[in-house]
Amino acid sequence: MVKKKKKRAQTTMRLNILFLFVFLLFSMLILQLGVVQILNGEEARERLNQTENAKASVAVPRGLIYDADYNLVVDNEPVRSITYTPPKNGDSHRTKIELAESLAQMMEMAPNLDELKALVNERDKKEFWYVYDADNRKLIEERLPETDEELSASELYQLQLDLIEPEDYNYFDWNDPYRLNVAIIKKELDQAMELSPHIIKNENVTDEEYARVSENLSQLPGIDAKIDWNRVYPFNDTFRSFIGNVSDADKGIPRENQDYYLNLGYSWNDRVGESGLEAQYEDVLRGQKEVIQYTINNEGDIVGTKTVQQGQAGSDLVLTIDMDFQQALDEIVKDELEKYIAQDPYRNRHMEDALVAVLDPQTGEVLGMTAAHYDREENTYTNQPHRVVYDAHIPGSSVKGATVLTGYQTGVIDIGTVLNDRPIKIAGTPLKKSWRTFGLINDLRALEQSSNVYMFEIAMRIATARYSYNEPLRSFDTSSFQTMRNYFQQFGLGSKTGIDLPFEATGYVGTNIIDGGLLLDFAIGQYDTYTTLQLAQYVSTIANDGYRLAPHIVKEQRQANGDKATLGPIVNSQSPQLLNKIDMDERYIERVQQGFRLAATSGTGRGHWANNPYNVAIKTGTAQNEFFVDGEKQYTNNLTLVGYAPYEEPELAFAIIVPRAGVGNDQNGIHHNIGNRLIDAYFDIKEQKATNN
Amino acid sequence: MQKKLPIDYTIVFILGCLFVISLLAIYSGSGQYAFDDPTYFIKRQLVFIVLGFIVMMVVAMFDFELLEKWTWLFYIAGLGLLALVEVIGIERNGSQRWIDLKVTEIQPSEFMKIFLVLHIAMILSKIGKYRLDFKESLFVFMKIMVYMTIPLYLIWRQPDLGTTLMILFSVAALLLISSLSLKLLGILTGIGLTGMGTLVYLFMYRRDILDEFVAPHQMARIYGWLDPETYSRGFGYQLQQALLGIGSGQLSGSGYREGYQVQSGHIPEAHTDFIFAVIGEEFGFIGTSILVVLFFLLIYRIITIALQANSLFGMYICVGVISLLTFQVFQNIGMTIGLMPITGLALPFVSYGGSALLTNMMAIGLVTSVHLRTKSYMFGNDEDE
Repeated sequence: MVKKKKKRAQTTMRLNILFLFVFLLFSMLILQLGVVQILNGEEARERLNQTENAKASVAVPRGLIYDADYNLVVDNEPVRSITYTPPKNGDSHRTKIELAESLAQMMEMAPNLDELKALVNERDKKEFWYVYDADNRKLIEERLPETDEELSASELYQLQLDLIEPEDYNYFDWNDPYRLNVAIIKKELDQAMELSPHIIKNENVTDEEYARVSENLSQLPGIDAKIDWNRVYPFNDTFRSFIGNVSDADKGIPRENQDYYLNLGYSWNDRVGESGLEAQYEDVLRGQKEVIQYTINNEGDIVGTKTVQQGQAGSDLVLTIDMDFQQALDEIVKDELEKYIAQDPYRNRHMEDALVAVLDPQTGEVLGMTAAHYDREENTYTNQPHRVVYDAHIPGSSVKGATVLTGYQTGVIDIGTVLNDRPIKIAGTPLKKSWRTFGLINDLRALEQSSNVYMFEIAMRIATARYSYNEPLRSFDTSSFQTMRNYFQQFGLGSKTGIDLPFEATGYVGTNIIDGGLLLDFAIGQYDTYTTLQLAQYVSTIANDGYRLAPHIVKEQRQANGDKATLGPIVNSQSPQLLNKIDMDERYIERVQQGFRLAATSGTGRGHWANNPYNVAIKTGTAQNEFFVDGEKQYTNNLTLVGYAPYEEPELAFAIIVPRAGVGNDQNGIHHNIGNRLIDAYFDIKEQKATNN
Repeated sequence: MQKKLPIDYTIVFILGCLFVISLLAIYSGSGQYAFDDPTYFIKRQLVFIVLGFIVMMVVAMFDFELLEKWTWLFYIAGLGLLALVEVIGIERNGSQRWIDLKVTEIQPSEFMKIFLVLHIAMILSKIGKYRLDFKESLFVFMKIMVYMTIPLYLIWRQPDLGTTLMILFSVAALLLISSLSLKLLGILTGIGLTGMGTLVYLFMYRRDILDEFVAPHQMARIYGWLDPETYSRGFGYQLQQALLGIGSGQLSGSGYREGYQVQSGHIPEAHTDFIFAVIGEEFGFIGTSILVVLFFLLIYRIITIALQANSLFGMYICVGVISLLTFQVFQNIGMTIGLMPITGLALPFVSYGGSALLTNMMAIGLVTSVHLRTKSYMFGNDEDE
């Protein structure tokens, strides 16, 4: 009995231990369940509900550009394209092959068999065969040699491709156009990135192909038939370099500014204005893409779509430029340049540019800008209007209006101040004089006759310098350079004009401020350089009674209405933009205006301008432009001309620069000819249009 | 006595609850596999349940004491079936475990585990209640090892890591509860612990050695279990998805047939191995704890029967059944909540599948038989031996 009791107790105890063990195990389960479901449950639920929003954009047509007369300057030409947008995480090879097989029945990737064959190389055939079937992949994997070498993914892939023999991929008939099309389309599909449309074909998509694909879109997941556009320019290269360029879909947004564009909601392959007005007015022209938001759950399935932003086609631009006038201007400038070079090829051997800017002085509207450029080696003349804002030249006497006004404004001269025009000799510099020694002359005659010495006197007075013949300038105030430049900048000389272009040059600013002789040179436009547009703004400011306006090329922004013949409502109209007003009594400006008028009627330009019927006011300039070619000093002149007409109520102001003209009186006609002809052309076209209407 | 059905009402009640949960979960979890008939799986499972009850009652009606003489026959039959798997077995998911009977498929390893437990129970009960000395114990132990190793090797080869481990666990439980010498048991425990320690060490520091012995797919499952985030596209994926689903069930669940992970097909084998994930996601912590408690009550009931049993053979049978059930429940639930690596073990009475259900019902039948015989003894004169 005793033994039995002991045994019983033993078994019971062992079973109880077993029971305790089971109890512990089950407690662990409950405990872990508590951790998973209660403690971490919230997090798990959130992770399950976690969705990602991906946005996809649909491009809208870019805005068109019209000239002042509402003729199309930049048009959109529709281009049909077939695109493929892979889903999140991409499609499988199998799906893509099936897609390619469907598409190959609807479209041709090249017009004939030879061209199709040219698009499929051996590697393409291998890759196509390799991904076509899982058995093929298995076959190649079996062929892989045993190796301990660690291969990178790309090395392994290359090795696998090397193992594919012609008898493998020749399983397909590579003379069959259908098979070739499938392979080419498959290759395009492979290049697409998830959720981003990739163009499969956008050249020569026929009506039939487009229709067939469009009708079957529902059976072609990810495929879309779209109409894209290309920029076309009905006026060819007229004003072309100001219009600028738009990147293509391959290039997309500029990489150097990618963050800027990405922040603005661009995607990598968005087309964007790269230069000129296309870049300047990018935000207007691009419009607003339609943005569709896809909601994607944690497994990459799209569970919802929503249009978060309605698309809006880009607004159209209307230019201040009348393309008839612009074309006439191009023709005049090219014609004159060609004529003068042909007339004296040796003396004009360095002449290769003629630049013109024409503004409406009352509004700042750019009426025309042109630059003809002669390529001596190619013996061709090209239209390079951007030089008007990019290239700066020494202007010569054209700036004397600014010098005289600076004299008035600093109080060193007044209306009617008489000064002695005689040769000036500063120790260590060449003799400085006017083209003729005028003796005692007043401000008006100084402008009319383009007296250099009058300007030197103004500069010396501003610099508080005491002059004695062949002695250095004494008590020269070096801050006078800055003083004069500050006044010049009020006219736009040496400052930005504020034109609506992404870039403009401001010219060279001399750095030597100790040499008083250079200040004298500055006063007659022989030191700092200016662009043609700066000169045009300067004369325009004088013509406009001291109001400096920012030149602009775009007059209006109009809402796109989908119709090229009529314009949509005005979204934004560019009113004259006042940069500054010359801070002085109006009679001073009138005095300079009189001087400019006299220059045309009885002064330096008399011979060229006396008979012009449009009451022109001008100021000429002949800047010595010396430079070295092969160690030999070359003497040329920059011929400049600024002016406006009509004198009483100016409608146009212009600046003309013909750099590096040959030295001699023969050449002096070119800028005057251009000036005369452009004024004639302007008023002719104006009259013609008035009668037509 | 004779008019009563050969059942234990407590056990049947618990089983009934489990089957209700099972049918609900299978219906919800099999949606993704059922193409035409959404009730395909539960209809078949219902048939298995009915069959299971019949098997249970038939087994319970037999006097288990009679089995004692015939365990070797079952053992041989089980071995035969396992050998047959080697020859004509069908392969699925990389394992060759099933024999196609045209009507259904059977998994001999399922039956083998019961037969082996029976056989070992018989051997141990022969020892009697007195503790053996070390030498005698060693002899018995070696004998048991031989009986165990042959089927275990065949199962290991299939490969079926889950069943292998289950059998090891059960045999260990039987040995520990037996009357073998404490010294031997101590040594065995020591060896066992050292072995496990070595495995852990190898896994942590010398994986290259381990790779020699463990199939890559088994290693991958262990990696997946230890680091589901990193391996979330491989084997850890199943675990990751199951964990997310169960976790998202929180306290009260997402609602019946509303579990996102289950219904969207992210949880693999949702009606078989991963059925616990269905319950966890759709019924929440409340559902899972009820299920765990049901299993615990079932085992508690069997322990009670074992405690009352006045036959050593009966007691060992109960212990064998307890260990088999405990291991399956702990392993299956444990793997879906990240406590254990993933193996292909079903949740007893709940997962879809005929072989496992029939074997488990057979096991319950044996326990019932032990219980019924105990009762009949109580009316008899059994106080003295």
